[in-house]
Amino acid sequence: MKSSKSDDNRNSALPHSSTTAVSEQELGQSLDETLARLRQIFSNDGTLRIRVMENKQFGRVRFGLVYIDGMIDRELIQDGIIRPVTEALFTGAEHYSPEHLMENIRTQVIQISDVVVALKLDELISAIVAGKTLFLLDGCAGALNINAQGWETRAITEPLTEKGVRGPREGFTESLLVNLTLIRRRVQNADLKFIFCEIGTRSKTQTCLCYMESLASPDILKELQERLARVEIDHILDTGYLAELIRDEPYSPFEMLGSTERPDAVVSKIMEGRFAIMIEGSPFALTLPYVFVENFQASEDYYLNYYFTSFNRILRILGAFMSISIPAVYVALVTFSQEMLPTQLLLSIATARLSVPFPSIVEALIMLTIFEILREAGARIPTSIGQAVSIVGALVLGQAAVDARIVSAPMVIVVGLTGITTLLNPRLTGPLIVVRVVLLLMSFFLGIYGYFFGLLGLVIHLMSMRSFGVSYMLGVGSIRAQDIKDTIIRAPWWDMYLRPAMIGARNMRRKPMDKKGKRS
Amino acid sequence: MIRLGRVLFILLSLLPLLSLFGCWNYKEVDDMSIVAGVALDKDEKSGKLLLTVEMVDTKGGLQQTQAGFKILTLAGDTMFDIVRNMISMTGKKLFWSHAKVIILSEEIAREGMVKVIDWYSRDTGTRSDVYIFVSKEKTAREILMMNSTSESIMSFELAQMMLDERNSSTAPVVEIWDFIDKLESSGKSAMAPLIYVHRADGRGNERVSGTAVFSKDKMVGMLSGTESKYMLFAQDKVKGGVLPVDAGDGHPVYSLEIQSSRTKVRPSWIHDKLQIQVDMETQMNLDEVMTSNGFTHFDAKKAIEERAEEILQENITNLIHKVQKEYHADVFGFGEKIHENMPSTWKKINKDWSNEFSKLAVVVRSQVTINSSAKTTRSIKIGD
Repeated sequence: MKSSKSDDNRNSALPHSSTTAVSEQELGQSLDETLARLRQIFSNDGTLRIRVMENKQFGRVRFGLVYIDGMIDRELIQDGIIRPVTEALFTGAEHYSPEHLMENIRTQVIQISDVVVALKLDELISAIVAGKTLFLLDGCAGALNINAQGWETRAITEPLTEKGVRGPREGFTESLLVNLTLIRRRVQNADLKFIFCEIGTRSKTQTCLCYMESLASPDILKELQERLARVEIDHILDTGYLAELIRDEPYSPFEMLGSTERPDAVVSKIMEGRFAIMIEGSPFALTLPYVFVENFQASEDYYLNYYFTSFNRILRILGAFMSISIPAVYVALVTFSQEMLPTQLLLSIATARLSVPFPSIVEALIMLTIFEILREAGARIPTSIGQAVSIVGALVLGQAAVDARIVSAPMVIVVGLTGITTLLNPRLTGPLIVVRVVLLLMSFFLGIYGYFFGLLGLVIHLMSMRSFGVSYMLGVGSIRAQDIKDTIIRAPWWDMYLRPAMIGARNMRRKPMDKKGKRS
Repeated sequence: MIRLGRVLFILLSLLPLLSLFGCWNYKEVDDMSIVAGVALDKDEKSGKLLLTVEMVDTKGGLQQTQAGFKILTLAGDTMFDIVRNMISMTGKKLFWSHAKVIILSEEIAREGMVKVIDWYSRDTGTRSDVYIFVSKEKTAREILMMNSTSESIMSFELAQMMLDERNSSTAPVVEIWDFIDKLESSGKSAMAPLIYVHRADGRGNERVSGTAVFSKDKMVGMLSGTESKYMLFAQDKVKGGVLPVDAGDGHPVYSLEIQSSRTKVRPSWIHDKLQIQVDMETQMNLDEVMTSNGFTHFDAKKAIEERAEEILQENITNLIHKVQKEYHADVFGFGEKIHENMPSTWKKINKDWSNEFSKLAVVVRSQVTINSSAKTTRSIKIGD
């Protein structure tokens, strides 16, 4: 697929770091001198192409084309620049000054839509490295940046990380401009803003901030731009770099910025008053502010029947709770509070644990580590069958370990259940592992008391965090119906009148209500 | 940014805290002997306490689905002394939280219960929801020793039996907290179910039926299974069970299944004399008719109801008189009712309550309603 792009509507308010210092910024009038300077700057760069040509009839039109091979559309250059300029009849142009001639060529000869005049050397350099074609005219102290970019990009495919049964199947690609069109096509409204900036002192990665002006909070926008301006880094290759650089609470294991590959998800976020950040070269968009309940939301939730998706949400929340609690509670019950187990369960655990050589805590840590090893191995196996292989491996390994009396059967069940419940929330995998181990150790030291102590600490930690000034636990524990409608359940669309509090504060109402505050 | 040095400093100063936890109360589930039930006897020779403990044997392993049992007996001076000394026999500490039953020999029960149940209610490892029984056999331990019906654990079987007891109502269900509660209150006497070995065809089977009646903490007498049922009626504790009814000639031909029963006990002054009125309302189903000519017309239902009322009134009155005259123990909780309704009267008589109880006038009134006759409305007709 071919792609072309333009970035001359860059916002000047955004950080625009200057290029490496060039002592002499002014361009000379001689074509050969300018080309020599460019050759010197791009020495040892074998991809630079310089072509000097003349008009058939009119010898004064001697021009040079400079571009980087592979980043331009050759046919476009040939049909839009070389042929028109070489074959044009410059009748009556003998007395034109070189600047007049250049203007003439720009407005009448070159048949390409996006042409900009450049006067400074660093403008020329950044245009060349961005894949534009430079048009230089002998005798004229200026140049034309012609946008005839063209390179291979990946096709738009269904995102692998966020597959759904229902809903749009498009996913972002590595091309920023393609990604922006995917968003623009869904929101045909001038309110949708795209602010560009460059991040990375050396890589100068194109970064785009995307939001709805009538919905998004200007305070958050200001804060976000300040944070982006403060970023000091050599290069960024994925939005994951940015997420770590601009997030709140840098030491918390929980994600403070959302990340998605789906344009429909991004649109739904910006329609709630959130911001999205996208960069050139990564198919993942960041969304912010991010709150805890978003970890449990999937795009599909909004497309399928609300009973079903509310049930799924409750399952996911239950799954997250179980995956941190099961090993901790098991160890606390088996090593401290045996009186809390039903008698029959106690007997079967006691029978199963007989002649197992390790204490329960060691058993739990061994099995959890083995599970994480299998999980990581499964993730690194290139094809998707890796998952199935690792599950089979776990079963076989688990069965053999129980038969050999290295671990007890209940522990295998505990770890298996923990693993499965973790898979319910792919966004929370990392934080859950940390919390699970902390709770497990607390349980081992202090029993059930330690478990609840740890749980209390977790709640305090979550409650104390903010993402761009918005409480991380937004909507959790609220008693207002509109706050709860998109948290542990997903209310039907006809009943969601308001945007999330604090995030969509500028324009709370999704749709009008009647006088009673009920339906419109 | 927090400097790495500071993070390390904080972590290092938190590290010694780990040694303060000490894992208090930490014990692995396979390092303890799980007690299922306990029997208390008096050693014949030395006169000391003899404690028999039924423990769960987890040696069975994975292949066996059912855990086995192990029985240990040890004599000693006090309960706690014996329990701790048992470690020298088991090698593991006894775990009491899952014990289900405590069986006392009649001898112990007649001598006084306080000395044996105090440890059980005081110790932190034991639970107060354990079922209490009095053995009708010579010793209590022979009940535990008799795992005749199956290879399963006798104590758990007895606990299951007590859960289903409400379907027969032939013995009270008493947990140790309830027993101690009654010992401590003045207007109520404690009781416990009786347990014995039912022998038939040379095989024994444990059976719970009847009631041991206590005065203070000493056992004073027994009630049979049938008497226990009438006692439970008077106590408003009947949840189910069967009432056989005769047709007036002494031979029971009808079985009434008790659906629900409500009993109200009211003390009142009749002719300057304290009288207890026991009013019962019982809902029943006719579930068995053992004759082919009975129950043919609608009036028969009325007749059966009346007969059932008569039987209940007669038997309960007889039972109350028996307990008043023979045992002087207020198992019905009449004293408590007087305390509730007539506090000033109770102040005068509570000093000598067991004596006053024996002289108390009691009137029993019963009302029986038969709701249905189960699946059919007629009796089996024998063809020619």
